Order: sequence, then C-alpha cells, then structure tokens
Amino acid sequence: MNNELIRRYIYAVASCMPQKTQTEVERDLENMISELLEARCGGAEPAEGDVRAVLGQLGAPGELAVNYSGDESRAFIGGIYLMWFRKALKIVLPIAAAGVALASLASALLEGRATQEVAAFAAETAARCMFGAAEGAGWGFVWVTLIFRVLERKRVRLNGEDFLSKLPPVPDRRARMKPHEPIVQMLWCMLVAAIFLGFPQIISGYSEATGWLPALNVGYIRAHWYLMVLFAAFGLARELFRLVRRRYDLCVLLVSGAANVLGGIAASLLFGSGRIMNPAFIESLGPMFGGEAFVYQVFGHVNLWLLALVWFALLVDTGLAAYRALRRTREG
Amino acid sequence: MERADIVGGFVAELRRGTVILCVLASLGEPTYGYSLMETLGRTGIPVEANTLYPLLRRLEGQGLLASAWDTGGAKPRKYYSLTEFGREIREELKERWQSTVQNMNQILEVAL
Repeated sequence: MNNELIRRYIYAVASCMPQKTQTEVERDLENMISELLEARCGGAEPAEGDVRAVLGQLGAPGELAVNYSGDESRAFIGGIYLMWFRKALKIVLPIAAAGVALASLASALLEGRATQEVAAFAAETAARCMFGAAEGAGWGFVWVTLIFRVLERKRVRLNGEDFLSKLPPVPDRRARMKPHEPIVQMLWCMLVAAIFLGFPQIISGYSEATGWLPALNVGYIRAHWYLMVLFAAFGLARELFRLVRRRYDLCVLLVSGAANVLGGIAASLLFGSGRIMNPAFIESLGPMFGGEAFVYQVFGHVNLWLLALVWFALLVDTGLAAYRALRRTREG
Repeated sequence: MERADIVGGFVAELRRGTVILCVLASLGEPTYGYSLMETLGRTGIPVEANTLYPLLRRLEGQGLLASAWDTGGAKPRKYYSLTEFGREIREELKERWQSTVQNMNQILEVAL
C-alpha cells in the first residue's frame, strides 16, 4: 500500500495515539484499509476514488484515534474533545507555568532589597518562582478544562468535513521530533534565565586577598533583566512552535532561525557591554594571577566568552534544525 | 430535536451495549476483521469498520482475543480468535444477556 493519501491518513491517526502504541496502530490500520479496499475492488488495483471512499468511510483521523484509545464520552470531557483537550494542555501548561514563573522572577528582582542577604533572597526568589509556576499551571488547567467542557456541551465540531485534503504530510522517521525534546529545551531556557537573573554570582573568582568575587555586575544584570527575559522568551517561542509542529521542516527551520537571531541580539545587548563585568573582579585579577597579561585577557572578558558560547549554541541549534529539515525535504 | 434523531440516538446506545457480545459470539473460529464485519452485517447487526477494528484491538489488549498473521495468501491477514478467558467472559455475558432480555420482556408485557 504505497498510496500517499493512505500513508498520510495512517500517520494522522497514529500521531494522535500514545507513542508506545503508534507502530502497532499503524500496522492495524494498514491491515484494516487493505481489507476494506480488497473488499471494494476485488483483486483490481484500487483507484484514487476507491481510496478516498474507504478513508471517508473511516472518518476523521481524530475520531478514529478516539475509537482506538477507547476514550468514550462518559467522563467530564470525553471522545474527540478529550484528545484535543490533552493536546491543548501539553501546550498551555508549560507556557502558563513558564510565563508566571518568569513574571515572578522579574517581580522579585525589581522588589529585591539591597540589604537582604544573598541566600535569603535566592531562597525567596526560588520559592516565588515555584509557586508562580504552580499557580500558572493551575489556572491554565482550569481555563482549558472549562473551555473544552463548553465546546463539548455545545457539540462544536473540531473536525471539518473535508479532512482528506487537510491530512498532514508524513515526515521522514528521522525528521520526527519526540515531544520531550522541546519540553526539555523549554525547561532549560527557564533554568538559564532563572540562574542568570537570580544567581549571577555563580560565576565568581577567588583570591586570598579578596575572597569570592562575582565576575559579573549583579546590579547591571538586574537592571537589564528584560533582556534576559527576552532571550528566554525567544527560546520558549522556538520550542513551543516545535512542540506544536512535532517535526523538522522548513517552517521549523525559519522560525528557529528567526528566534535564534532575535535571542542572540538580546544576549548581545546584555553580554556585549563591558559594564556587565564587575569592576572589583577585574581589579582583583592582578593579585589573583600575578599580572599575567594572557590570564587577564581571558578572565577579564568573561562576558564575551559567555556571549560567544550563547551564539555558538544558537548556531548549532539552527544548524541541526537546517540539517534535519533539508534532509527531510530532499528525501520527501 | 427531531423524532428520528431521538429514536436514532436510543438505538445507537442499544447497539453500543450489545456489539461486544455480538463480536465475542461470532468468533467461534479464527476470523479476520472484514469477514467478521460481513457476518455481523448479514445477521442484522451492521458494525462500521471504524468501530469494529479498534474494538477488536481493545478486546485483544484486554486478553479476550488473540491475533495471528496469516501470511499464506496474496496479502497478509490478521486473524482473531477467542482466548480461554474470552470464552469465559462470553459465557458470562451470554447469561447476563438472557436474564436481561427476560426481565425486559416482562417489563414490556406489563407496560403494553
């Protein structure tokens, strides 16, 4: 069964199922469609019209996936609505949690008292971020549940009649994206922003004369917190698009490229300025390393090394997205 | 709501409750999906493919059915058969069904 429409239909159904059952369901669907076509056409090769008739008889992929999963409409949200509800939750919950956590972080930094001890400030900020994330996720869950409950009660159709013309193309197996990949990246973006805004002292130098000194200017970073939030937001937007798309293609490549360039610009504005370096740290480099010019060059520009690291990571990410998308386009 | 819609909804509910027993009762010997669909259709219990095939898979997942691929023909076919557990469940459902039918008939006779 090499018909493109059948392949796309099977992919559309299987992609609504849990990953561990997808291969089995795909095989089952191939068998079912093959039997139905054979019954319709006998031994003859099925025409495009036969394929369309059989797939039309099976119904929209989402509805068939619901039949396979056995989620009958008995629960608070059931059937096809439950499938879309789960998909919506996967998107809304991380965004709501990340959004409120970042807002809590920004608010903690703006309200942060100069007299407060670093450890107490860090603990309070971390607690506010965690509670903020939980609160955001909770509200996201409540709203999505209510919306889907209303959609189900009103019997709003979530699949159009002409579903065959809207079937997604089947990506190459190697171009498919596992859902945990963008979720891990989203958590990573949040973690980087939280560490840099909450605990920039993590990059420090030590000498007997001065003790531990932060390499970066904490006050400057907190005054320009919005640049780090923007950097994280572009990363989150990129991963969110990937999470929705679930495959590497030209669209993902374009969005990734744009988000990475914008994120890189935000990072450049933050790390590119010499004022981000702690003057006391630079002064202490002499006693630390005995006036070695090379060491001074390396450690005196930690900000530029960090910026180079950021750009390198963004370039690698864009390069990998391009490689996977272009390979898929060539093979597809 | 139209009268036909109301009746149609009730009939669909009735069918939904009986289709599992119909499938278990029709699987006396190993059968493939489309053949089972035809058998049910001939006996006046038409079941759509998009209901039957997922149901067969779910029953297999519950251990009531076993499946095996027959690769002897021009195209491989998946044959379903009842497991021992499936037979026990079928017998139990059959008894419950007969008792329900008896009770229903009594109710309907009194009511009519």
